[in-house]
Amino acid sequence: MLNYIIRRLLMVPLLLFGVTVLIFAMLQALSPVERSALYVRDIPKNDQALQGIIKRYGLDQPIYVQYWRWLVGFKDPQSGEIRGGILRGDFGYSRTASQPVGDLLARRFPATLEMALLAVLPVVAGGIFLGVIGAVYHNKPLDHIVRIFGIIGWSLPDFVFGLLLLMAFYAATGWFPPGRISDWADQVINSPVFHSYTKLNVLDALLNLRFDVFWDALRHLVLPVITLAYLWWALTLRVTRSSMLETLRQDYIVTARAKGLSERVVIRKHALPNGLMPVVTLSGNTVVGLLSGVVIVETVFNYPGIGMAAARAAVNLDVITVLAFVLLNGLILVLANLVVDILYAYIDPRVRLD
Amino acid sequence: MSKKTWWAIASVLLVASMMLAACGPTPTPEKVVETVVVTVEKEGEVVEVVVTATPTPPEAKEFKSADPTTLNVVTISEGIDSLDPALNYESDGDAIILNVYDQLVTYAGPKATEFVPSLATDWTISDDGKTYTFTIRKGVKFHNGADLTAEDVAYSLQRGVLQGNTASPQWLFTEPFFGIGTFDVAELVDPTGAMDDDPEALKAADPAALVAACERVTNAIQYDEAAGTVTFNLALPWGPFLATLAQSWGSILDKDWAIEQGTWDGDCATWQNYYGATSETTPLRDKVNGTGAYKLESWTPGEQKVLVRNAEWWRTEPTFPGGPTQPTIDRIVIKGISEWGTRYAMLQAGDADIPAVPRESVAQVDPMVGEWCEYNAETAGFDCEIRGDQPLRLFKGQPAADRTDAFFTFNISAEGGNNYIGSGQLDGNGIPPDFFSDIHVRKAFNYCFDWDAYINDALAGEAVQVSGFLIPGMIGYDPNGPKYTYDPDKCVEELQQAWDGQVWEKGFRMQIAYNTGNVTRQTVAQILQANFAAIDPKFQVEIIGLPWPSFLAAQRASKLPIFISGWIEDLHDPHNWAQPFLVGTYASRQMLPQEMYDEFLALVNAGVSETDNAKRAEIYQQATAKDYEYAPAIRLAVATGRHYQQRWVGGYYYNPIYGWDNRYYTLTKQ
Repeated sequence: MLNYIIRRLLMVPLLLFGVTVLIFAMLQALSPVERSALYVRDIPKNDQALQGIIKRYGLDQPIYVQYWRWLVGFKDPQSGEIRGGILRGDFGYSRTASQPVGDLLARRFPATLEMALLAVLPVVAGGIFLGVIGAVYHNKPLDHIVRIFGIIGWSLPDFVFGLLLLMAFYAATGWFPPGRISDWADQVINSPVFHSYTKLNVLDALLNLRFDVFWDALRHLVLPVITLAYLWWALTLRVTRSSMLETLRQDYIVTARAKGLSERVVIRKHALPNGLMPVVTLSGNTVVGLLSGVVIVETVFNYPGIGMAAARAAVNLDVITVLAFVLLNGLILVLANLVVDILYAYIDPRVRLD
Repeated sequence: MSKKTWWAIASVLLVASMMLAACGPTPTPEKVVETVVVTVEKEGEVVEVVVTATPTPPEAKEFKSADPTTLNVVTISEGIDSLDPALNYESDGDAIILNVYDQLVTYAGPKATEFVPSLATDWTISDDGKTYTFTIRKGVKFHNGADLTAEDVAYSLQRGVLQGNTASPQWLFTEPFFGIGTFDVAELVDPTGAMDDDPEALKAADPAALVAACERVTNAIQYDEAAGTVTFNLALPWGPFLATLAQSWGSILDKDWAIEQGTWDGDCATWQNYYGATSETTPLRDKVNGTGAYKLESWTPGEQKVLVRNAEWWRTEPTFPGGPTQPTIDRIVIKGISEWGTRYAMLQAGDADIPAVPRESVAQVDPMVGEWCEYNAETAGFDCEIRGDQPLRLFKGQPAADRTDAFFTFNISAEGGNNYIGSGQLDGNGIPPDFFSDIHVRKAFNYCFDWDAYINDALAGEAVQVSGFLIPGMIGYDPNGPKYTYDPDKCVEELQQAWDGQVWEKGFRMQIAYNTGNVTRQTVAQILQANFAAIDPKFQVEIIGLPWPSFLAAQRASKLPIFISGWIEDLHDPHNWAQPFLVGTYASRQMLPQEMYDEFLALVNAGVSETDNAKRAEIYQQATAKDYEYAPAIRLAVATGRHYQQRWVGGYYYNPIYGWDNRYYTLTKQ
């Protein structure tokens, strides 16, 4: 197992290198003028000044030189400052967010992470539970209800479902407002007495013993989390249900039943571990999907996460910002796949021997 | 499917329909006319008469919010470029700057052409109209507690000019200070403009020339601390000078504080090191210290701005009769929310006190309006009528300070090929590059344009056709002045005369481009397409939607035969329309013929250097007549805007130059 983990860990830098090469190749589709946004905050309008910027930042240099500078940064010949370098967290300047992309990611990512973390548990647990129910009660009323629930979730556009929830549980009742936090709670969070240890408002509020802020942060998360969870539930329960159905038809399950084991034991001890194999893979994708696929949900609920910022950058052709998000997603994907592979190997020893 | 499955489906559909029903507009209560039967004695007889009760007008219901201390403004986007008043040149930033900073003079409430004292208590203008002297108000404190001085005023405006940047509003100062056509301070060092926006080139310039340029600026803006005055020496009389000072770029900074933040140190030997600051590099990008009615508590880019009341604001006199002198709302929270559904939900929940409502969604919001207020141009106020208990108040008919026009390109660029002009010849399959140089072509396009269709289709019926290049209510604007109207017969007449009859004989084919998603521009193109096709199919106007960058590039390269573009005024002054439309930005993109340009330039220069308003009006009317005669564009229509707010918000007024998010200090909340 240890060998397997080491082998997989060694693959990570190679994969990340591949991701950066891919992103850098995309950057090359931009003109040197547009690429200058990696180093200067405002692209000059004067042709002479523009040529100066291109020379100064080596945007006319061989491609490998430019790649290295993009990756690790370089010393500005005029100011002596180190410029650029994604490994230093310098992704350039976001025109649409009026701030460095690194600052934008640092501010927005915790918000999306908080929502995704709160959504992932109900998605995985609820999806598996409903999928198992559907398989165990195959073609019975409970199964039909689960299937209808899944079909609706799978076919309902997220912006429609989100807006319906918003109208019913906010516009009409005022229970669950959009945004990340109320104005008064925001003041508390930004006050010197409040310590933002994790930048996750729900967790920080608990750590600061501010239950009023905790409740406020939570009620802002309810609707987006339900919207996200319902859509991903549908997928998880469908995969779990079909996988469990197939497992329950296996000979060893028949044998287990023939041995006189109770149905509960058959399902929990024998069927579930094997039936959940595809779900583990799916769960990895779910985490990635929740983190990167929240554009619509964040927009509908005015939730200031990376999805909303990415959408705004995309519609305004702010390519530097968009590519930073692509890079972040690539990183998340690589790391999530690493975790899934390790989990897979843990559950299924055959994987380790491949 | 089994019966149980059908039941399950029916249940889900029922729940969904209930949720949809919950989202619909609240039904308006049906009006009931009460009738009673009374018995009266008439000439000795007793008869029964049916009496209809006079409907009582709806009582003014009191509207109270959950939190009267905080005003929640919900806009479409939060897109501040910079909070440096010398650099910011967009409305989102202005909405903050005008509330946290003060200027020497300000507008008399809703009056867009009247000025009242602000940080200056009074001012004098020399007989030749070239010297303005302002007495600086005493006892005014900045938000950091420092006292306002005459030196602060002079420094603020000197620093703005010296910081330069052609994308900033500083050209509005450099022209009156140094002459028409001077758009950046770097042109005082190199008049060719080669150093504009090039800090490195400027730093390398002759040090003596740099100091001389700076001294021209400090001579143009002088102060006398003992007398408490600031004097502006202009290169020529400048009609809109007060209007220029009243805007956000005329904001006054605390000199010491600004230098501490890293701005120009006030020394003429160093100004080039601060030249060319951009919206991101200026030290004042997100730092604010003004004398205004509100202080900036926070700005979260892309999310929100929060202002808090300045309890020590200096103002004791209202800027207009009946106006307030002090802010009453403690906090102003301005959120940018792009999704209309979310803003609508906030409006319904009562969490949006002032929402941005897109024109296409007004039918959805109007059922929530209980009080309707119509703009009255004579009083610059509103005539309001209560029609029900609904929670919103609507202000409508507000004249906008922007307009979209369709401009003809006189010499279309064919460099590197140009699909927009087809074959590039007058052969029925294209147009020649100088197609619009013929006055009959230009007039034909004007007569073939249907303004009513445009106003109804693109502007929801809420707009007025303009006569000339100015907008209604402005000095020199004549609502009864000459204007083209839709007239197919005249269009045919002009086409028959165009290009010695060749256009009528052969027809033409051209493309009109619009940026994808811009319905207004698309509608203009569609109207021309339909009306020419109705005359004869050989007059072919093709419509092409382009992504914004491609549209802009084609427009700037003068490749589009007709470009449809909009202008938002910087100053509510005719010069701010005459300059770009007749000789500046648009005229240069149109490649106006030299003779026409010279005629316009003489009138534009005469108009701006005249300080007598009556004489100015005459000059601009002459320019308008020339504009009609030459028809270099199709002057379209000025939309009239709407403003919705909760009825617990009061104190709203409309000044076209600011739009609606002007001065929050006048607003109240119950």
